[in-house]
Amino acid sequence: MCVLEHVAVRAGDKELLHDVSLTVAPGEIVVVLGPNGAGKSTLLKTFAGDLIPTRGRALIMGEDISRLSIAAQAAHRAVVQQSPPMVFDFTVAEVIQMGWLEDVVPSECFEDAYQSVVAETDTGSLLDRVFNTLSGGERQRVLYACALLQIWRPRALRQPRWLLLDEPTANLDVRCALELMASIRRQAAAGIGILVVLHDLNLAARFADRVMLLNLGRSAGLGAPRQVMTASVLSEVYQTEVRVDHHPELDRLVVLT
Amino acid sequence: MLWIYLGLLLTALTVAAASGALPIPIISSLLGQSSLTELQSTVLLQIRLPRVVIAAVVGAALAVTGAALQGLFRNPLAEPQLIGVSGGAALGAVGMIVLTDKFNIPAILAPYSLPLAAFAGAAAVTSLLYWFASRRGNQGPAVLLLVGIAINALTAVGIGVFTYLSDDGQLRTLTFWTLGSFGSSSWEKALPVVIIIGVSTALLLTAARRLDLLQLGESQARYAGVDVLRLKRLVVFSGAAAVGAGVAVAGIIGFVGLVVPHLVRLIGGVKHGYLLPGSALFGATLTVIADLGARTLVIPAELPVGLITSAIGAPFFLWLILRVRR
Repeated sequence: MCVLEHVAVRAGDKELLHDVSLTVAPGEIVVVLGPNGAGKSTLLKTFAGDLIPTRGRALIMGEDISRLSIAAQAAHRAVVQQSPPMVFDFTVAEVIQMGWLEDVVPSECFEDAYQSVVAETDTGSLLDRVFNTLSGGERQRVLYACALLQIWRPRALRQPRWLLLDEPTANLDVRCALELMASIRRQAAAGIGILVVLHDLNLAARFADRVMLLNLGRSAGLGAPRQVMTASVLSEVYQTEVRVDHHPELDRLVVLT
Repeated sequence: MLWIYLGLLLTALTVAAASGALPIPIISSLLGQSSLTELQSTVLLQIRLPRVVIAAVVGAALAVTGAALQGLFRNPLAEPQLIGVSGGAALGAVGMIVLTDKFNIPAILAPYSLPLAAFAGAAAVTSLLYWFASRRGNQGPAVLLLVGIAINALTAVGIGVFTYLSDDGQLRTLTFWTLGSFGSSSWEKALPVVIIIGVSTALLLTAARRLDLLQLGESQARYAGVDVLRLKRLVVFSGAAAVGAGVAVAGIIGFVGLVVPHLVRLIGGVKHGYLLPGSALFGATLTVIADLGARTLVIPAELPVGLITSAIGAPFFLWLILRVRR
């Protein structure tokens, strides 16, 4: 389990998170929603061990995250975020391979892991390209592949692992975004716990097992999309008129703004 | 690929040891076809061998440090001389030369006092630079260079003060420091330098994979298991030790740390597992050749080797700036 217990995070005078509790179990997709500045990235960074709670506890498998070594944290979870451009001309293959944890997974598994990750992320045609020459969407896919390689394990070593993603669909067109979310769903089905920050309410409604809605650093709702994503709650949190309908043919929520 | 660099280095070492004001037929004597005169073997063992060995390790130190600093700062223009690390080391060394009578240094530490002072200067500058460069994220190539210019100006002031304070004998030594030369090499000087540079280069080589990961940004490197703070300390202090030892024995030799890593990247790629050892070997080769030029171009006089590397390196630097801006 990856758990935040009554967590508060403070930066200077500003309280970025206030009394937030959230558990991400292996195999489930938890989507974090909320307007800009609501504390979504702060929440993700607390799970990632970047920020240490000023109150409350952040635990991974029952242990305080900040007590784990940086290497142990890396074996438990991978993070996908927007990355600054690289200075030197690393190829896509070299970037993906950076995710390999050579101290955790036996090296004879590398070829299997690498091939399966490249196939899963459809990056085979990019491998020889220079990372810096890729489009924003392609870069996002490569960084996702790198993270998948980091949490890839042979059957014998499958302890719980988590994948944390900060707005992974920000640069993607509709089709690529859906493909990425479908891949994330496959990871969850394989037992990975997923925490993903999204702006797109429809993607959230479609792929989330549970949604955490944040507003001004506080939890404004936690539960299944149907419970949390109601027109009145969303309208209030986003301070704009939001309609939520149930689409009978697709059998899912559709959010109209 | 690394074997090719090693072969080039061995060739350069042999040629450099054989050539000079007094030619020495090393190959044919090794093959038993001729024997060396007493003068030739004395020159070879006491003068020329320590000189090419020091040139090789100092070149390796500058190049591998340049490559590691470029990776650490994520900046293609980082170079020990340009960003002031060599200047800091020179200031430490010059200060030690002028003030050495004032200190009471035990005889056993005396050979190490100059490298230590140079190391302290280099470490101070590198730490200061990293503090500047990491205060508000990655600030781009220009900021680091501007800070480097400022630090170079400050170390120039310090060196100027010591020049003013120095007597005639010290003044000659100081001038030698600012131009760079392997002219006064001996085995006594070579030993501490070989040890310090050997250890710090070995330490830098262990950072290769972590430097690769750092290219994705500090937080991403951390997520993938890199202790960034430890990595910074390792590179800053190993680099400072290598450059400090190099400057202590040979003065400021510019542009090796800039040019060599870029050439090595152009030849075989950017991964640090290849780049760091490749830069060490290739830097050693080019510096041995530059020193060969320094002592053979104007026989019987000798050019400062720093002049030669700068004359080649400065135009390359211009080309690099044009390329980076594109």
